Amino acid sequence: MHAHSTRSTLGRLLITLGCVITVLLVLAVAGCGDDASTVTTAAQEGLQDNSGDGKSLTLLDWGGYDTPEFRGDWDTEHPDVKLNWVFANEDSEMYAKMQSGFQNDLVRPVWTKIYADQGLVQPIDTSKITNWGSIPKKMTDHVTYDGKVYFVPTAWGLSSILVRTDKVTTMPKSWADLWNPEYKGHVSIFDSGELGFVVAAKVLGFDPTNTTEDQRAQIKQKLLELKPNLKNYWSDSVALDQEIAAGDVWIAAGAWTTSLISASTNNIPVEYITPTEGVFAWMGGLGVSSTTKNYDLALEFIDSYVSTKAQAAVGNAWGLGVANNDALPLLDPATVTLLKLDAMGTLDSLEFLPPVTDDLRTAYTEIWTEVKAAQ
Amino acid sequence: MLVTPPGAALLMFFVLPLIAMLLFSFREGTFSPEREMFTLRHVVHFLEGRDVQRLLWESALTSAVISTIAVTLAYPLAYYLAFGARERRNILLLLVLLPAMTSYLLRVMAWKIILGSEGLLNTFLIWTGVTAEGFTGLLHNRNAVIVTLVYVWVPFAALPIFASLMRIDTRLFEGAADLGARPWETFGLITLPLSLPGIAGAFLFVFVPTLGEWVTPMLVGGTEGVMFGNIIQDTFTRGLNWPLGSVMSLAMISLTVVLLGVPVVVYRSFRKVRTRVA
Amino acid sequence: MYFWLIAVLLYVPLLLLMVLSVNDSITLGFPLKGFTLRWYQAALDNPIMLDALRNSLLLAVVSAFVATILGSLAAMAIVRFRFPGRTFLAAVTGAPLVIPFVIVGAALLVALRWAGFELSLWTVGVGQVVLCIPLAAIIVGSGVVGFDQALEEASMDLGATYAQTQLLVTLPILAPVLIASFITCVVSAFNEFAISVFLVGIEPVLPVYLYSQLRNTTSGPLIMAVASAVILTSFALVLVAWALQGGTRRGGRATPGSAKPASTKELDATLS
Repeated sequence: MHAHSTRSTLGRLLITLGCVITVLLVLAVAGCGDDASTVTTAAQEGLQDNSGDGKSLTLLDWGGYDTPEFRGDWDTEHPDVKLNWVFANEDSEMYAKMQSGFQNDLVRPVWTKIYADQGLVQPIDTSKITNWGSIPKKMTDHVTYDGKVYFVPTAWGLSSILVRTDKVTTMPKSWADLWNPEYKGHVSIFDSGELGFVVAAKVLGFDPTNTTEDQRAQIKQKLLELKPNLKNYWSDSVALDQEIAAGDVWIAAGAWTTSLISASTNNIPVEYITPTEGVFAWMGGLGVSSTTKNYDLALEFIDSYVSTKAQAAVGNAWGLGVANNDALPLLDPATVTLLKLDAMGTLDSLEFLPPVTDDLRTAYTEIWTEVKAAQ
Repeated sequence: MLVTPPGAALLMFFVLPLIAMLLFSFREGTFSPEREMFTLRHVVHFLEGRDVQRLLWESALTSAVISTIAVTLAYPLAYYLAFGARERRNILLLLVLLPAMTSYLLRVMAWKIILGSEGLLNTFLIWTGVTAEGFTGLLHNRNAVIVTLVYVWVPFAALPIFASLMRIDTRLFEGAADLGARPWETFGLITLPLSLPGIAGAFLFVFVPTLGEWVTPMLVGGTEGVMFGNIIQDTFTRGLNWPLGSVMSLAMISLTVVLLGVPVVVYRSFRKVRTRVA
Repeated sequence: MYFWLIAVLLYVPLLLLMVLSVNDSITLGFPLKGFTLRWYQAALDNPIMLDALRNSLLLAVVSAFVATILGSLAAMAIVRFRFPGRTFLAAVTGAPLVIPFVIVGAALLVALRWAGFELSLWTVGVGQVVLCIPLAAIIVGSGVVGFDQALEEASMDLGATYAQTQLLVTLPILAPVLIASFITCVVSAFNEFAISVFLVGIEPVLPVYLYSQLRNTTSGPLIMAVASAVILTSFALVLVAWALQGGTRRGGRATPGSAKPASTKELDATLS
């Protein structure tokens, strides 16, 4: 028994040594090898690579955007190009995928600036986009950094507050009203550190893109004070719609227009308010990856996507704001009135959520995590 | 030898990743090569985060509650299977395990529909007249998480208990009866102590994975039911802060190792009791 | 009595899913509106769904195969032999089941990406194999425990080599357990979500795809349809697995307390 145990101790020692050596070897290999996790910044020098075979395009996109009507005449004009769609549910997912060296041609994020900063997308030659002139300046400004255009806007949407008018005694009128104790346990907020951060900053009167450490502490405190009012965090609008319909959620903070349409279709008494601090708007655009080998083809795809026909389809299907002015007359009037899409003035009065940079992202993620963890 | 393939595979894809995670905790950032510098920043950040640490403890507590309830509910199940079932034992065991072998995600989704304020349970309660309007407080809180996870784990908890009950020599029961023991005494003095290893095993089997749960809290937990697993998952996938996520994961593993020590000691001491009795 | 109450309750949520899959309404709730099979039709019309389904099936089969082999080897080694590091191997073999999945997934993510691998079906497969090895080891292990080694000795006494014995004697006898392990692993890997969600790359995998669909489109009932199909298929497979395992099981399961002391210790070691 004794001899056996010394043998096994020795054996265990050997095995541990073996493990350690293997670990060191692997680390050595991994350390020396290419980290393969960033795209080279050679892309910044205007790659515009067209060496690809032009037979397929890979898109990193949000679910549902692959609807054929949304790309206008593309299918008839390019029947032999295969479209590979890879879906992500969130900006962070898309971003992580591209940072991990994902080989795609096109990406459609909302977090536009961070991609440009990190060299993940390359500048767009707008002369090749025939519909470029029809896109409102407010949108194109949002995607122009250092004088270069990095994305082509494809849609915008609102992020405001949806209220069950029959459940609340006092109608909320501003983002600050979310904190009203009357709504205790019936508020749902979009599970994004970004929105929480920006809303709290706005309510406190800070500029979200330029906060001091002290201001951030106040923002965190403000969000902690919101918690008693919250029923849950929503991250999927389908579930949110069901909870609004069921009457569990009276106030949906950060709700999109799709929720408004869904509730109205089901005859649920709701109102999509315009908070006094302002409605936020998000904007998504198509960008061309720095590693694409089908630059021109990608641009052609983008062009199809922002064509009048395609944009009208998007607007009518989902009630989203269109990027092409010429598409406005083609929109379903009911949608237009519902979302007040008729005037270009509407667009100008909107405030786009600040472009996400890495610093902003880190800041609000930390705060949001801590807020969620606190009991 | 036989050992090499599985040993190597597990080493490479299980042990090594855990070690990699340990090392990753000291990295500056997730992506760019420039961020490979050694730093204690994330460790410090975690140690300073009182709320997150407290959540870890509370998640452990919630896990313990879930494990206790699951084991308690599973024990009679296992008991019946071991002693009551006889010829049909295998079929009944299968019956219990079948639901557990389907998709976890779907089972949680089902509970979301059951507990909703217009869900199955409320519809049933209204229909039977128990309540006029139904309860709204069933979903989006810690209780919902507990109920759902207990449901998920009861079949799995029954297995170790069943195994240890099966190992008990039935002659002990006959002997006890001959000596005049009543059924409750037999259970309390013989069956229960001898099945203690199974109970401990079941408890652990539920406790450890539940500690890292995030899917159920995300779907049915609301704000109150957030667990430590959610924070880890958030940090990795939304925050894209892998070093910090690694630190958090290791904190959880450390807690698990510490908590594991207690039942292991209990287990070993009762094993000695069993061999002495048998 | 109690047993039946619990057993029925275990099935209620699954029945709910199946009922909702044929409910003629786009919302997942009550009251029920009518019977329809259109969601099943819609599921079949969805190319990405079918893609995800195909990928998951393929992956599950391959992972289960690999895991069963590795798990069997580990089980044989642990049950039959004494060697240095045996406890360590037993612990490591069983460990993936008792470590929170989020950590297994995150650790693999970190390690694989650090080593330079892209996320893809391969990485998902690795995760599934790691998770299934303990399952396979336990299931096959229980068969090895009850295996009478005298048969092997007899075979070799009669002149067969070790390899021949393994192939012609051991394997056929263990076949039911191996198949049971394989099928159990297929079902587990197919439904696996918590680890896959960390490791999934471009190609979709069914559980992750269902999860993402729940969040983006109004396809609730469609998911219910797929869910029901998955549930029924899982049931069928597990039934087959258990028929095989229960049918030829010997030793340790006929009546309580009849297991030999030596083999219970092995079972102990494998289970804990």
